[in-house]
Amino acid sequence: MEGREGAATGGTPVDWDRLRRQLEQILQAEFRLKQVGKADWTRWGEERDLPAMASREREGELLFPIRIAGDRVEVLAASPPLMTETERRLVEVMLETVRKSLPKRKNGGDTLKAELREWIESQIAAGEPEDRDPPAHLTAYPVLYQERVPFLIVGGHAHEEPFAGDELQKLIGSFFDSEVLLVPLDEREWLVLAGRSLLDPDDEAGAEESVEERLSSLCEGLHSVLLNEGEGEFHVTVHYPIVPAQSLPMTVIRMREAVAVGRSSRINQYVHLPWELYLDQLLSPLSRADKIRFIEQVFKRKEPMLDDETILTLETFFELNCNVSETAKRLYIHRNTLLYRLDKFRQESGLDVRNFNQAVHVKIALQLYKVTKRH
Amino acid sequence: MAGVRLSHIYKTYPGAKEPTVKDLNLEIRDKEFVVLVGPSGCGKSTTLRMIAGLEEITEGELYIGDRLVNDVAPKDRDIAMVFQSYALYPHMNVYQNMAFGLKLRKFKKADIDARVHEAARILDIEHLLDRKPKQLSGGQRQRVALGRAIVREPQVFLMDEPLSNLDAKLRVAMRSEISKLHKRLETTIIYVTHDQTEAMTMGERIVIMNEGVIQQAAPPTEVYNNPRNLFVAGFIGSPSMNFINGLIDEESGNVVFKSKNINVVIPEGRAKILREKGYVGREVIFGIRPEDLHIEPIFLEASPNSIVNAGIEVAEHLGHEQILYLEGLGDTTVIARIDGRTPVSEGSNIRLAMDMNKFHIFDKDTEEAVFYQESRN
Repeated sequence: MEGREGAATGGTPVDWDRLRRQLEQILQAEFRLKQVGKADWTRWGEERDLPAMASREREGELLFPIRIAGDRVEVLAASPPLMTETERRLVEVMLETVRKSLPKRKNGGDTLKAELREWIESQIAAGEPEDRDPPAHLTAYPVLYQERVPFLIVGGHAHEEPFAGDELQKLIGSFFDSEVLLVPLDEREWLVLAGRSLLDPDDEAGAEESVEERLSSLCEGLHSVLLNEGEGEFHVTVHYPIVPAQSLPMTVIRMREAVAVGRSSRINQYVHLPWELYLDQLLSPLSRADKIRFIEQVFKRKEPMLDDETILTLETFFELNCNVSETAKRLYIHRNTLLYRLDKFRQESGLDVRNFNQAVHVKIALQLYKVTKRH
Repeated sequence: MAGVRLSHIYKTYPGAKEPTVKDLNLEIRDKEFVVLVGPSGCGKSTTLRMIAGLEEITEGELYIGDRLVNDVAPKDRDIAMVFQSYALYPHMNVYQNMAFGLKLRKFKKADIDARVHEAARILDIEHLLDRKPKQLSGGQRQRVALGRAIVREPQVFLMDEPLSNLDAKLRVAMRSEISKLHKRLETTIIYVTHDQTEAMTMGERIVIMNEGVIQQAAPPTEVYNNPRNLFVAGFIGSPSMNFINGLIDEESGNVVFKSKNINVVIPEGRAKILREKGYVGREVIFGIRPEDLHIEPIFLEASPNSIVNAGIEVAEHLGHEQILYLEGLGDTTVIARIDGRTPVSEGSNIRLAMDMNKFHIFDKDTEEAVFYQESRN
């Protein structure tokens, strides 16, 4: 099996997050797990004539190496570095001991991806994705104990050839310009684990952005880069930051649900943001017959026909919190024209969308109408 | 630079009974600016997406230049896309946004720098190169999205409703910007919009689609003056062309069009065509644009055979012109566009003359324009 290549050969599982917290408590310093480029790591060592696995000071941080994985070095970074030389040496010795206890493996990067995929799929298949620690051999990867931003990308068009993983990895790696892990879940579905630092505000304006706004623009940017760079059109979703070792399989399930619901309820949309899909997710399990019945009950007629203009008007009206002026502005129409359209809809349907309860009914019926009309 | 040729293209989605695009044949010349326009669901975006390689072609052949690209991956088609959702890369500044694709392709730093600065100069965004996307206005973001495409110097630009996220004023400004850009870059642009004004003002040639089929492909004035069928005639023009059901008849040696309160003589040249094609005595659809109904005394005097009387139901005064909604003519409300100076009042009657050099006759069954003559475009 692919996932078994280079798999664990003995060793003791390590909870890296717990270790990090313990070090913080003992040494009263902030520790975090991160990655640095191997080339940089080597250069910094050469500058001071240090052995490969000795700690280094860099930009106000003390970096303790855990392991070398491909072209990256996974480190525990302490800041501020207020430790004494003895404490520093003790941490190095402790990590060396931990390193020696880790499972041995051949090819870090690829093996990790394969093992992650296997773990995710087995947890999902077992129907028990929650509250399970990762298998012992996965604890050898500190990367799974760092907070990551997960994205799911799903191939959206029908080219026969599967996407070239190497190229996608290169593109996404360049795009995020930070440590990023791309895990192929199948030929058309990829999990991206990007660094939490992506969400750090880079200026004052950024500090005012909500996490959702930041995630949303990153998600749209990711969709856009895949399209612009000719990889094709992908459906993309994102999740709040997670510690993969704690909740990755469940997060994958949530993201798959978001893509599935978004694809079915929002035609021609490729970015599916979970916090915009709560209502869609609630409605999606309804049977087609139930959906049609609800539509008929609300509109009080069989097979109501809503034209594009009416749908756009109502959707924009709801999106802008039933604000007439804002809706007219967004639709580039006169306020009176909007009022005329809403009155016309009221006369034809008996529903006044300026009334809260009726607006709720119309909003739900409209959502169901679009889904049922397409199937 | 390259032309694009679509030959007998079909697109059928899995499970669909009917193709979304049917037997589409179109030759787009090198450096041409072609606009695909049509109502929602007409197949224009699907066509563009097939050219981009984002949708598989069910049947037919697609060439970019001389190369058959049906099975060529999007990234190998040498195209650049600007779509409606022009999401920029939020964590990169404008320079990095524009340079990203070139960097990925391992262009030399100096080349990247030269291309980015040249594109920024063309788009007048040099002063924004250090800014992050969230610090830009909608129009500036759209320029950056264009810049991202320009730096790649592709054979063909594909644009899908790129202005639809902008406000009305900015949209008008960007329309002319893109037209100027086309002249400057001298490259092929295929542009999709549902907005007929955008199509008319930007395209060297516009391709009007409906229900997956090309209805007409011709320069804007040609499409406006010489529509091939009822759909094109009704789709292009705002307010749209008036359509009046009626009868072609022969009276005192003249061929006339008759409907309720309408009896107008058809000039001899066109009367001859109607006779030859056997339309005399048949029900047809008479089409006339709002601006081809006149109230000027000199026109009324010169057109005694095409005068009609109507009641003014509504008069919209737009300053430089007035839009009159007229009742009593045929079986429909007829719209006339007249100058803004003539005093008119709602509820009164008015005399109008039809410009009998500008009307159209459509076959009631096929909806084809009877006088249509195919141009060489």
